[in-house]
Amino acid sequence: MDFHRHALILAMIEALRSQGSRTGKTPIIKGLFLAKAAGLDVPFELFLYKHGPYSTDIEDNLDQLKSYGAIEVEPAFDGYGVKFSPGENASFVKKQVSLSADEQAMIDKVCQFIRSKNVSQLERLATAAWIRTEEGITDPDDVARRLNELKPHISLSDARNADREVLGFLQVE
Amino acid sequence: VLQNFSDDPYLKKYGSGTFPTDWRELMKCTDHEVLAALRDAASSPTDELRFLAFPLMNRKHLRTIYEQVSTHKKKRPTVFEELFEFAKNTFGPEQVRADAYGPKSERNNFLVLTEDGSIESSLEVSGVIAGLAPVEFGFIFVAPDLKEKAKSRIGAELQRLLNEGTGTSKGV
Repeated sequence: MDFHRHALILAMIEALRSQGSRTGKTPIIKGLFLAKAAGLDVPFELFLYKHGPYSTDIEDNLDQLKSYGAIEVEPAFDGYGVKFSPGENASFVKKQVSLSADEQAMIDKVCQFIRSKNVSQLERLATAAWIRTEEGITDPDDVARRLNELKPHISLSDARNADREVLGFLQVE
Repeated sequence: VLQNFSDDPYLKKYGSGTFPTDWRELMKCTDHEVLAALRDAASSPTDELRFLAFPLMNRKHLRTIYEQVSTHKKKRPTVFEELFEFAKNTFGPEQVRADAYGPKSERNNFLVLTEDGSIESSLEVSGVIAGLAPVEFGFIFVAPDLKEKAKSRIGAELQRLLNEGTGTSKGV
C-alpha cells in the first residue's frame, strides 16, 4: 500500500469538508487533477473521460482506504453518488506519512477554488486545465474551441469563461 | 486443466512460455498434451521443469496458512504484507507464496424504478448496497511439509501484530 497516495486523498477529503463542499468522487478526482495541473506531483494515473479528467487509480485507492477504515462512505441523500469522510483509521495514515507543507497548501488552495462548484462546472474547469497542461494548447480561443469540440454540450462562451477561470487559478502561484 | 492452471508457473515455463495466438495452433495444445508433459517432467529426475511438475502431480501443492479477514486489516492495515514478510524471512522465500486481490468495489450505482414510479439511485434506496464492503482476499501459502509449523508461527505472529494494533508499523 502506498500511504503517500492515501494521505493525499485523505487530505482532499478533509480540506473539502472544511470548506463545506461535497466530498464525492468527482470533487476528489477533479481536485487532485487541478492540483497536478497547478504543479503538484500527484502520483495517480489520470485520463480524459466522458466528464473530464478521471482516474480509476484514485477509485482503487479510495477502495483501499475504505478497506481498513481510513475513510467511510455513505450515500449522498440528494441522490448524487456517495460522500466520503475520514474514518477511525484516518490517524493511521497520518502516522505513516506526513504531507509536506507545499502539498497541504496546494490541496487547500484547490479546495478553496472548487468549493462552490457543481459537477458541471468542475467538468469544464478540469477539462480546460487538461487541454492547457496535457495537450499543450495555450491560446485562449484554441482552448475554448477544443473544449467545445470535446464537450459539445459546453458552449463556446461557457468554455471561454471556464478557461479564463482556470487560467486565473493556474497562474496564481 | 489449461483454464484452472492458466496462472501456474509450470505452464509459464511449458513450451514457449505463452499460448499461441493462432487459434488453430492453440487448439492443438489440449489437456492431454499438458497432462502428458506434466507426467513426463514429474517422473524424470533430470527434467528442468520437474520441481514445478512434481508438486502438481503428487498433491504436494502449497498449503494455506493465512487468509486475511477484514477485521484483521482494520486492526492492523498492513497485517497481510507484514505476515508475508515474516513468512518469507522465517521459512525462506522459495517456500512461501502469496495471492491477493482487491480491495475492489463493485460498481453498484445504478438506477432503480421505485414503486411510486420515480427513478432513484440504488445507493440511495438501499443501505445494504451502499454499505457493501469492497471485495478483497489475501492468502499466504507454504510448502506442504512446513504447513503445521508455519501455521503455528504465523498464528503467533498474527496475534502479536494485532495486539500491537496500528501504533508502530511504518513504511510497509
